[in-house]
Amino acid sequence: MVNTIKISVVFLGIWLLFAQPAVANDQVLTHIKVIHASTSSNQIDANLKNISSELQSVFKYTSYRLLNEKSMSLKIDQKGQVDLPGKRTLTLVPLKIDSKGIQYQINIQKDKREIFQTNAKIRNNRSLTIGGPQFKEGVLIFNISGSVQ
Amino acid sequence: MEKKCDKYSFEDINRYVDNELPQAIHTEIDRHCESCVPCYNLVASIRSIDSVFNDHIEQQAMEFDQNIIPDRVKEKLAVTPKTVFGNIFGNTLGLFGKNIYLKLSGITAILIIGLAMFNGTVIGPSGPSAIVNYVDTELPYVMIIETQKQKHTIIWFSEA
Repeated sequence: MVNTIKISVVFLGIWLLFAQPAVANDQVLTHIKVIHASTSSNQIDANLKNISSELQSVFKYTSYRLLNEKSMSLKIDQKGQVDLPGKRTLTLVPLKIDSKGIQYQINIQKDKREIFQTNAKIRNNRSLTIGGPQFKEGVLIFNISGSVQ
Repeated sequence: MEKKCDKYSFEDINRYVDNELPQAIHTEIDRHCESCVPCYNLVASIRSIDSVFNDHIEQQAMEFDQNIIPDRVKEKLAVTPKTVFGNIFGNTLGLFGKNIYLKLSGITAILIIGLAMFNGTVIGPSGPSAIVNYVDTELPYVMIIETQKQKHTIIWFSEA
């Protein structure tokens, strides 16, 4: 009897460790990093090591500097906004959460004019990078990650 | 001296004796052996070797004196299914037998490897970090890229 209980406890523990978290909360933790990439130096900020190695595998830039970062806890359909260099603004809205990730509507404005919009599903605890706008002899890169709280 | 037949190799005949050949070839060799003395003799010789070998093994097994088995081994051999179940869980889960620390470290290792694989750190992520449903812009070009290593999704656009 004692052994049966022990076995049950072990299996319950394993199941709890491996079980996918059920989508029970509609609160989304969204983290945005605003990065400046250029070829002017070889400087890579310590907290950009992971993302910079991925970007370096496809782009020529050698320097990655973190200009700004912001964490927001957003509810579904709640708008979050980040000011970007060069009179730009990034607006994002989590639209839907499911087992595969968080669906966002992401817009970038420049001088209050919509220049870019996308709808993308970011996998839970992973990120999407949007980049390309020219800034100070380099480019701006926005790394958006989302996780369900 | 007996004439040698070259129609079938020694290996073919061996496989024929062991019933390892396709049915059509087996039947063909069957028929051939009815008229070919060297092949017939070869088949008979292989069969006799097999027979001697099998008989010898059987005899050795029959002659095995069970009294020389130590009591400790006999006890192990006589375990009931319930004990086998207990042993399996005792050894794999590590909570129901001796050497508890060793077994617990085994469980921990299995869980860490499992979790690491689960999170995609060992075998890498299974899909792209994000799925882009649409991009709407008046800008001259937009690229959607997926990195090779971490399958990281990048949307790249130009304002120029």
